[in-house]
Amino acid sequence: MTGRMMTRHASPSLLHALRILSTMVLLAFTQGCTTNLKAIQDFANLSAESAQYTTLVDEYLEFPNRQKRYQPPSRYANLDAMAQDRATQKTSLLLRQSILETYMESLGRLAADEVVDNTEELGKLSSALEAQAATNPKEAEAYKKIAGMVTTVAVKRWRQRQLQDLIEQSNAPIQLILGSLQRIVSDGFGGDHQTEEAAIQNYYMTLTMESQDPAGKAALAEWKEFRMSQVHERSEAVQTYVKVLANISDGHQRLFDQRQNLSKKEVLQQVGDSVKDLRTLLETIKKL
Amino acid sequence: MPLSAEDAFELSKQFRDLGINLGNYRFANWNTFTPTQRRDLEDEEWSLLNSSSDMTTKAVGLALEESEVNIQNIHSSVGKAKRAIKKLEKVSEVINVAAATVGLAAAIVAKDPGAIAKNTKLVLKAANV
Repeated sequence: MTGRMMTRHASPSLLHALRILSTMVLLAFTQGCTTNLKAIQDFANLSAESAQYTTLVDEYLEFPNRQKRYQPPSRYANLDAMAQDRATQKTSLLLRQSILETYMESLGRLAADEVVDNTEELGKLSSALEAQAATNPKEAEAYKKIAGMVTTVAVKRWRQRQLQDLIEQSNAPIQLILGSLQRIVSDGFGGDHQTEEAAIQNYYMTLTMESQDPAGKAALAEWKEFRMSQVHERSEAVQTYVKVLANISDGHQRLFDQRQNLSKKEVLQQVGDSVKDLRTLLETIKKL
Repeated sequence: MPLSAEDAFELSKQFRDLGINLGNYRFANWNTFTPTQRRDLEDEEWSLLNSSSDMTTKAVGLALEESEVNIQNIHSSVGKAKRAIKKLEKVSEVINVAAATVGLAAAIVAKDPGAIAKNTKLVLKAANV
């Protein structure tokens, strides 16, 4: 009868034991695994967002047509062939950015707390506890809380391992893809801008040297300046995007180097700094 | 030895530099050339600049080819990550905690310290922690 009373009503000793157990469980599980990984999630999401920036690819594809403004008609066939060659590269170029975006989205999802939903588990647990004849509602509730903590922490731990595995397996190919993209953007797209500047210089300087009309020369100088400023703006976008790619590369390398300590405060602080830089660069490039 | 993307980018730069230098030379010596000579020089400049752009196109193509294998590797990693996320969305597929925690519940209710410890370990094991 006494035993029955103890289980039917709040059993102080049992509730106390549950509290101690919950503390122990938390201490045992939470060391380094309940830290919010929001900095990693933000880093991944911003990196994914940056990969959506495809304006530079469009400009690369349009380059031969823009050149027609400055080059004599005898060069159009060559420029058309170049445009065709570049058009065949469009899918591959966008694929690099899209795979980077998909990868970063996956990384962000793995780092996100909200992805974990243990409602179903806890529901099953409640039913199982209710089926235990000797369980009173307070005990069941207290136990459910512990189970909730255990499940959440265990899932977080599992998630961190998945995150760690993903970063470990992907770092080498991601670095190579980012390196290749940096090269393409910096030397390829950036090189186009240098060529475009040279073409503008050739075109307007030739007309200016041939002209005898001061007003016409002044107008040409204005047009030249206008066209040059357009190229400079695009060059700035290229330089900013190269910095974005370098930032993503450094950030991912840091995650790889610290993959065993992803939840450490200092590591998350460093990732947080990368996030700030990345955000500033993205805001800059969006304005260009 | 086949041309690498790096080589092609370097060649592109060299063609461009030659074109720019030729242009500078034409403008610096404008009055010493006949109109035909100027036109010929300008024609060469466009040839050099277009060779540079063609080489850029080639270099981009080579860079894309060279990174193809890495794309496949990332595809594979993304596939694994997506499966992991799917599992996370349904905790029971990640860890069979429910069964193990019910055992722990029973142990707690029974106030059996030995069983509590044993079942806690089982929960940990189920969670693969």
